[in-house]
Amino acid sequence: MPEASTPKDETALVVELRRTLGRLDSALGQISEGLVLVNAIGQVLWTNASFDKFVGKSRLEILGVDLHGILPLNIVGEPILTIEQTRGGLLKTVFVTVILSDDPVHALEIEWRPVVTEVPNPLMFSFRDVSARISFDELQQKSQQIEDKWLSTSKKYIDLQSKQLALAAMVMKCPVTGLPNRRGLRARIAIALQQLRRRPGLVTLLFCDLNRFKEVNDSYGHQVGDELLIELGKRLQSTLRPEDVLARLGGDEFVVLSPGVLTPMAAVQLAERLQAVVSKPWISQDYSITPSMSVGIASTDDSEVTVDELLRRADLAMYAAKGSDERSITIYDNVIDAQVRRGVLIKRQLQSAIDGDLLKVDFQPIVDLKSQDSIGFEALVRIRDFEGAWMAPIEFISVAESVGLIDQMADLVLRRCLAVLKLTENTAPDLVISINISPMQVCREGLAGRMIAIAERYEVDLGRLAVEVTESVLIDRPRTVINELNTLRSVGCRIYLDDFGTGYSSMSRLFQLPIDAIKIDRSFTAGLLNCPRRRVVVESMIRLSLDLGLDVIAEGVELEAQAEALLAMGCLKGQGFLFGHPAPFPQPAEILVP
Amino acid sequence: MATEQSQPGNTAASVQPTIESLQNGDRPFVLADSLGQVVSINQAFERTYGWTEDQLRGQPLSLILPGAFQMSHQLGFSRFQATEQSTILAHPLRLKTVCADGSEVVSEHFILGEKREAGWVFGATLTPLPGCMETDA
Repeated sequence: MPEASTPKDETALVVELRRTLGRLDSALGQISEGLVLVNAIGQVLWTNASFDKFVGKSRLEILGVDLHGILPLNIVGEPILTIEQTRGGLLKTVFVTVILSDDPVHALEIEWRPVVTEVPNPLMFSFRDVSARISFDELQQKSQQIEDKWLSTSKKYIDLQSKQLALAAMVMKCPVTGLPNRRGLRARIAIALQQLRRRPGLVTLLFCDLNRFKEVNDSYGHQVGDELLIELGKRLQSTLRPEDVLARLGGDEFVVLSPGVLTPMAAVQLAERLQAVVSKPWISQDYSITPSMSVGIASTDDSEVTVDELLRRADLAMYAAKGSDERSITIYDNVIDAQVRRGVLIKRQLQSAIDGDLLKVDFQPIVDLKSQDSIGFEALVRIRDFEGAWMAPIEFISVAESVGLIDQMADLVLRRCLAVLKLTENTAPDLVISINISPMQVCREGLAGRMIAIAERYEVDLGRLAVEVTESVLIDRPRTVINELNTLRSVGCRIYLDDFGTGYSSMSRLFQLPIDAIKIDRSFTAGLLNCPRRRVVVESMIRLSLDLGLDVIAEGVELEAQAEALLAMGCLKGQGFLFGHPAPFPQPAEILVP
Repeated sequence: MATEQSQPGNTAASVQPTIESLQNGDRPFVLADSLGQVVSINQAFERTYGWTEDQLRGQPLSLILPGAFQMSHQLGFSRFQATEQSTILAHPLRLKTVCADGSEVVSEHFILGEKREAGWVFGATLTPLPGCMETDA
């Protein structure tokens, strides 16, 4: 039989219980979440130090008062919780997100749940600062929307709970597709990474970016674009497992979060399934659109990787996939990281050069090989990299194509050339300037129309302009390319086939192409003097072209002997360091035009 | 007597008051033990608030605090017992004090804690602020 406790024992027990309570109180005071316990009528029974700090009051001022009365107001000046929400009787956990201010960003997640101790039950609230997890732009947009709605409504009272639920939903979800947005996705990635600590595995992201979605919006309007996004969201979702999370980050970007063990092979297979389901034609009213998308994959088994880092890796892999025609699925690795970082830097340089009109256009003379007088120039755009060195065109042109800056860049170059032609229309009326057009540009409808429109504004005769295209765009002679080039030729613009001999064109098909001249690649010119076979090939190129009525320009002429040999073969025009390096356009007096 | 003062909130460079110095002053004074039970009060306290020492000795300090403050007081006391850290010691604090007749008077409390051989003791002077309605709570 247990001994009866003495008053002294009881006192010691009370002291120890108090200490335990004190330790608990102290420990809960050290966590960052604000905690508050209220009774069934919403009066504060207990708070932790973080909550006291949050409301800016001492515990003496808080205990016993109504919770509703001490909470701050939200961004539209209303209580963040209603009186009803702060009172007991609730039987389930509730979760809302509230925005207190947008500058600086201050957002809270409030979660409250019943404490099953008595009836009606008290409530325990937790207040979590989530400001860092909300992007500023997103927040501004949301708060503006809410403010507009608030100002425009004639109702004086809008149910706060539904408003805040709507706000939380807007903050967590994409308003178009209903899928989690960037913020919602980030929260889920964070949870998946946390779970790696308890259960080893992999967290995999598949960053999906629709190809040419902007064209859908431009061609059919944003309404159709939004409908397509909703449709694609459904299609993607149908391909996933229940535990996978599909989110829309905005624009044409979707991300799949796949927790658990997904091997690289399985991830690629999943990406292929996603691509397959997306690429089915979408028919709506009179539209039939066949979408496609690039996918970047990043996985980690490291729970310490941050959400941002994992998203960044997947984004980089997607960026690399986007820049590759062959591989529209790419798995992140360090090489991609370096390549894409450089691409991003180049893009920045490019954008800044375009925005600031800092593109440098140099002109390399094309001469009459007999007189060595300039008869034209090739315009060459030049851009410095982030370390100040000139970048190779092949490097920045591909970036400009992949990030959609190629048209802006080409238009700027065209304008510079037209300005020069305008300037020299009296002093050198026969001068021809040639510009390079990228394969991507010439494959798209509308190039010729745009160039003609710009030339009209400058009142320049397009007979003084030439367009250089590479052989690759003429393979199989896609209809669009042929149409665009023919349109340009119809207004007098000449078409030069650049780098001739290096691609896949068959000489026998030259007569079928809508061109006015060939430019013999520098590699043939370089081998002219010491490689008899090359010499034979060059002779054949020149003879055939002349027989077909095409002009011939030899590139890469660096020696007098090369110029003489070319002349002897019938090539009358040349370009190369022998006649001049690319340089700013010479003063009109310096141009020797016959 | 070996003592250890707990005055985390006091940054004054002047001479530190002690419980003894408070006890020997002419302001209403109450002394409590480590459990928060009243050990003694002085005559000024009796005159000001109407309590007798017999009524309060051995009673919890919460008896002289309004109901709304009692939970806060108990939590603070428990926390101090666990951590020996306090934010209310050694600086003036405006609180209501409950008189023997049940009325409440806003008073300025100045509380000190000292760790003695037998444990912590707490001494406080209470200065009534007639006409004052504002408190720190």
